[in-house]
Amino acid sequence: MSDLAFALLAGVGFGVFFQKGRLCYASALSDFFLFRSSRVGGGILLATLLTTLSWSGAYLLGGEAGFWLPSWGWYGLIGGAIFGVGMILAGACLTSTLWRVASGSGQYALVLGGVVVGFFLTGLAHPWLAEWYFTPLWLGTGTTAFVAPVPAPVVAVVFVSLVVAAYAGVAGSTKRQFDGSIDDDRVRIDGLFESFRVGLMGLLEGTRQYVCARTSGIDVSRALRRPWDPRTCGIGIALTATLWLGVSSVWTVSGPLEDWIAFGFGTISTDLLETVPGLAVSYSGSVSPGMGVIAGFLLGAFIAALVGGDFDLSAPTRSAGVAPVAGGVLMGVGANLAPGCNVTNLYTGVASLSVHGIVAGSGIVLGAYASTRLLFRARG
Amino acid sequence: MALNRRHLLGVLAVGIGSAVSGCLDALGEGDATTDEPDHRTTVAIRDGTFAPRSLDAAAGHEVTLVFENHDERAHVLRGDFAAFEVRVPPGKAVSRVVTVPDKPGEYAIDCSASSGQFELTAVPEDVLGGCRLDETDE
Repeated sequence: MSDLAFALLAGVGFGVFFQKGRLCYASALSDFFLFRSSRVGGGILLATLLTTLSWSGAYLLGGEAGFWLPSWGWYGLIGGAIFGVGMILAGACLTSTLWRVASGSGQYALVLGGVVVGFFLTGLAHPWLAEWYFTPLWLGTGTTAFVAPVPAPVVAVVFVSLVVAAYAGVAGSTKRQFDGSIDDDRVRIDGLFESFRVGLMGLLEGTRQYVCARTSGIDVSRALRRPWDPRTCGIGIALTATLWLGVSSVWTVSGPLEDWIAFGFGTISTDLLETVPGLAVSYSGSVSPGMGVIAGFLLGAFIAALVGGDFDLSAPTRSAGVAPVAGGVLMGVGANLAPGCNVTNLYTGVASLSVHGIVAGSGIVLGAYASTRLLFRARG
Repeated sequence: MALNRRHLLGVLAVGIGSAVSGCLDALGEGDATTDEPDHRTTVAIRDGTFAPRSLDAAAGHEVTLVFENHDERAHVLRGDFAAFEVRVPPGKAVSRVVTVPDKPGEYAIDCSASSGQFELTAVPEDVLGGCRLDETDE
């Protein structure tokens, strides 16, 4: 099977899992910031942690081939924050914009239109970006924590353990706040341990219930119609990403999406393409495997929406105002200034323990946090 | 109303066109740009001046610089990065593989016999090109 055919297949897998799990980084972050809800975020986190473990094995076997480890700097934090603000304003991340467009949403087609405008704007600024933006903000060459002088899987296990411990601590603290038991804490450190214990017990109980529900039989026709548990989709995404890494490279979205736009422009007219320097450098005149994944993603999300009865061609609503387009523009600009989108940095970047991915991913989270606080406080 | 929209679109088109023209002009004639690793660039030295005057190259990659001396005297070129030094006899061409520094920024190759200078700009190409992975696969 050719790389392009496998790319389409991997893309279909990603598209199905994202659509069925209703996975969206924007809602995962805003739900957590506003309501301490980790339903969607838990699925995304599970996908990332499982991928970290499997990719550490791939790193051990094949070195860093296939990993994207760009140089890192303040630009990651700045571009990531712009992307994060755009995500919350648009009400969707880049991947959820794609699966919603594939489900027939006109509202999110506007967001995608905004992203294209964002690519266009940074494409015009391309001749100056190296000298005036990336070079002064550069801090170091690209690397990953997997280069530590211990086997990569050991680094991955330590990282996953720390994240799980932090997750348990936050989840336990949230549960105890609802119970009111946190008010009884007399010594702060004891309270932290108690929150961690409660969170860990909740995690184990949740996992037990999840496994029991899957082993007691699955109604296939119902499963095709209903949304899936985000954790199931997280496992599916991790498996797909691992297979994809074995064939070609890690998964990114904003770069190949921009390649499609450049491809479209270039097919219409190369003179037109040359007017936007950033798009001109993206144009290769052929469909790359990365572009194939995007096409497959849209196809997979479309099939999942159609089979599940979720496909509905709907026009944009006026009530949202300019927010979808403005958010899309910020996502497009941020994806080129970071560089990378939610998948490139928060999923692929964090899973490969890339310094750039972690810096830019932190920028996305900070931008999403600030805009969630501002936007939802303003709306009451 | 329709006329106003057309007018507005016209103004926008002219504005964007002007901005794009400005972008392209900003590159300048005396500069060269390469995004390709292992790129080969020929630099002519005439009357102690370099043409092109500068080269933008991907940080950390190797580029091959071919210096053609069109003067009647030798030029000794020294870079302010690494241990770069090359003597180019009159009427000859000398080729050197140069590793562009990892740290993005501007570096100079000076000629001891003239005031001419060749500027090598290390560009963080791995981020400037966005998150495209297919080209970087080995």
